[in-house]
Amino acid sequence: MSDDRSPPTDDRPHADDGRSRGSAGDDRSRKRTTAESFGRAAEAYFESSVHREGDDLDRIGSWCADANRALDVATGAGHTAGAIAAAGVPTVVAADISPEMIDTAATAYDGVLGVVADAERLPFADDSFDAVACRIAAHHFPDPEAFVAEVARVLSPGGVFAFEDNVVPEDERLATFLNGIERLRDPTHVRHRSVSRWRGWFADAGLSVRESSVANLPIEYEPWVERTSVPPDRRRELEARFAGAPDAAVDLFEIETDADGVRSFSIPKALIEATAEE
Amino acid sequence: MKESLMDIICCPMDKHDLELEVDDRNDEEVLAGTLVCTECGERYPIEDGIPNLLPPDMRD
Repeated sequence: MSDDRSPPTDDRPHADDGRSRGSAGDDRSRKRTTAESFGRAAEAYFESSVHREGDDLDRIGSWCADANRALDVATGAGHTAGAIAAAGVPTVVAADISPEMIDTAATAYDGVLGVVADAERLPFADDSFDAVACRIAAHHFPDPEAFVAEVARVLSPGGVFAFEDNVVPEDERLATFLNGIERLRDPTHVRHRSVSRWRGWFADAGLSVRESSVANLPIEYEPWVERTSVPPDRRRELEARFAGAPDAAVDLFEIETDADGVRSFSIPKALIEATAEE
Repeated sequence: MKESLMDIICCPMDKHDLELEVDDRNDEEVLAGTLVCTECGERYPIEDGIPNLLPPDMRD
């Protein structure tokens, strides 16, 4: 499969969408083209339609439903492990780097077995699971390639990998913008990767993508900065970044502002189902 | 920790089997004990019924 489908950043002709363009000149037009072509490429790239808010958990549950034994990596409070158990999987193992999280998850979801583990060095034998899930956590992993290789190793042949994470556009400038604001808001943020990077790592590990989609995760700005207690100096820097966002970023990340500053924006997230080689 | 987990857990470093040493248990699970790698000898604690299989460089 070819993964070389990053959106064009050149002056490729495109249909007039009716939005303002003329006075802003070539540069602005090019930025819009970048954003729009990312959108187009993403649509073409992904087989299924955009999923609704909250749908993702059901989708992950249904992808894993036929498994006898499933693993949820970086389970956090255990929502995904619980959804997989609710889908009828008899044995669900929940792994997380934090013993407190594992305690919470195993207590909250009856029958879920907790193990404190590192996502990049999983303590499970080869072919242990017929389904592995990882939901909105992998951007915390410093070595995603090692993580994907470990998932492929513990999956039995034909097993399902249900993956969801925030992603960045293929365009380098837009990716840098999003990772920059995420890091200002939370210095522990490692990096959102592009869908093509993830697909490349999946392919290298022998995981083939069966279905995938992207959706925008809407973020209310104030609660978002309050959740991580962003100090005043970094808040000022964040607001300056949003105020100076390039047009393509305003479009793609749906940045909404009013007199008080940023109100909301969106972070793209990908939901991917892949299978291990038979 | 349910003993059925022994079928699938292994040493996170070299992926070899683990041996279970039980300190405390009830009818359902092992509450306290140690998992010892049969290859490298690394010891992993089970505390409050939860096995901690983080590589040694990531434990406290």
